[in-house]
Amino acid sequence: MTIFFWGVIISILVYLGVGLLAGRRVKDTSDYYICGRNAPTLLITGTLFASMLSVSGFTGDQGWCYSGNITSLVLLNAICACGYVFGALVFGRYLRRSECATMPEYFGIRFHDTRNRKVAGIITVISLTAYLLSCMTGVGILMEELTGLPGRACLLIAWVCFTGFTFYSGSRGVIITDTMMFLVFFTATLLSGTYIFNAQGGLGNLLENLMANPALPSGLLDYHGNLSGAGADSIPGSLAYSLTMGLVWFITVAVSPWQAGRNLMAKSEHVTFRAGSLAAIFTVIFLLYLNLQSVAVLNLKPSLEDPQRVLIWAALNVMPKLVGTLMLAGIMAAGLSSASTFLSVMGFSVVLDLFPRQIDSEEKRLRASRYAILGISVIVLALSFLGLGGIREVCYFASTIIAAAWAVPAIGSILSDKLSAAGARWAMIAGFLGFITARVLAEVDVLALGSVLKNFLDPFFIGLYLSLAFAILGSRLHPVTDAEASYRRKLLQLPRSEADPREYRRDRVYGYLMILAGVATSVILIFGWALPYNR
Amino acid sequence: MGEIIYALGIGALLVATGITMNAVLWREEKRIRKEPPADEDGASGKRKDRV
Repeated sequence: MTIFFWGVIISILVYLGVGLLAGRRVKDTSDYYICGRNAPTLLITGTLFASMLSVSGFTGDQGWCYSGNITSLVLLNAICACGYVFGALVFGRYLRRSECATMPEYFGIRFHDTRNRKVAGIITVISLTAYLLSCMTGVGILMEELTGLPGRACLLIAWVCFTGFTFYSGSRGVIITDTMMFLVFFTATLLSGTYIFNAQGGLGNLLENLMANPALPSGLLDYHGNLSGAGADSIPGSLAYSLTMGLVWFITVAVSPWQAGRNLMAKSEHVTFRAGSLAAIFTVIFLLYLNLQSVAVLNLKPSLEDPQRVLIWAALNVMPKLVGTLMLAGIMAAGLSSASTFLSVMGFSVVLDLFPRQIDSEEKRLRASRYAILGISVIVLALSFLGLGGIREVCYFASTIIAAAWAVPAIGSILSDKLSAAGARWAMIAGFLGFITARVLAEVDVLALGSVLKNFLDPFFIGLYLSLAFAILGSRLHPVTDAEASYRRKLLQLPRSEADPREYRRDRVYGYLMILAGVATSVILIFGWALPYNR
Repeated sequence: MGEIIYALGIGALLVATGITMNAVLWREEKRIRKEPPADEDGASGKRKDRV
């Protein structure tokens, strides 16, 4: 049993302990489902970023950087980052005003139609069950590698951890542990960078060493990245890939229940703006720092058999054992934080949106909620033991499909006075089915569609276009009712409790921070890479 | 040249987003100072409208 084994086990016990302690402050279902709508900026930022970054952010994405596509990923992340802010401005703050516990509930109330709630609930449960399964599988594989324990034991340990505090503490436990885990992988990444960069001669020599590296992947230092890594055969094609995937994730962070839905717990609208800005800054700057570590490893080990293991290799071979353990615990934390969020969002939707029950006593309601979430999680464990998380087709339903289905009804619910209940519902169904159909066609390569359905014809965009078309059709055939129009008008009114000019002044400080971060990023990239590289 | 444009573009995304955010917030702040919201709860208190 190595230090890595104990590091993983101890970190899991700490998360479980803190998460369970948080549950002792849960007094009612409002605390349980939406943290009493009292979460401050730090916790919302922590949960936004931690839910977004999973094991794949430290493995698959870093493998992509190592293989020559750091510039593609940085561009993708920068576009994605902006979605946090735009999402808060055009949707998140209004979602919070609805005082709903889940996003499906919002769709039901906004459009005055329980069918919208049910459809949104079903989409949430399908999509997030798939995402949770693939996330658990990723964590299980990593744990298996680090600890040497059998695969199912690792799945069970990971499950005990995130289920333990999620079912007992609900959202309060989830966002506190998400923030803890965010701080763990943030600290680990800061520390790991110093060792990796120093091992290859210092951060200041990184570019020079890469330029002199004979084993450098083609295109790594070019603005367009490695063409084949982006599935392209031309520079415009490579840029189009980064641009379109960036837009996909821009929309995903703006409207997905595990991202935009976190705003339901915010203490105020101002928290949504501030947390959105901070999440955007972290997405660009922190991930750039992480990505640079992956390419720095090229100067230490230029021919890793599996590029996805680049940071794991570095943790085991470059860093002191303690720092390496922290890094690996940090990668595990990224996966566990995402898993707990997915379980909470999916589980709450099952309990509140799909199978709501009238229970008089608050105490009984809370107990029923806990048991329901536990039961749902047991089912997910059983599915993971069947190996469903490793099945490629299951993963089609994960991550971005929900955004393809919900972008139009979510943004339209605020910006459009013409989008009706039927239009929103048809849009969700069309977006969901359109995405999955296009995805299957692309994967199976029917009629050579695999090479056609990319960039702005990616299954995500096919779903989005169909969603928009059916939103228009449904709204024309079944126009907006007075009740829907009235609710939308009320939603657009600023609550008096939010109307404090001083708070808006404070919000704008975060806007200035973003501007500063943007300028700093450009300066670093220009003087640290663009100019020396082109000399 | 492409690298320089790329580097400027990455920063510009954050800068533009920050400027947009501040413009929206500044407009809200001006509106509040001119005419504070009359309704006690605004859009909240929607529990009455629960479907």
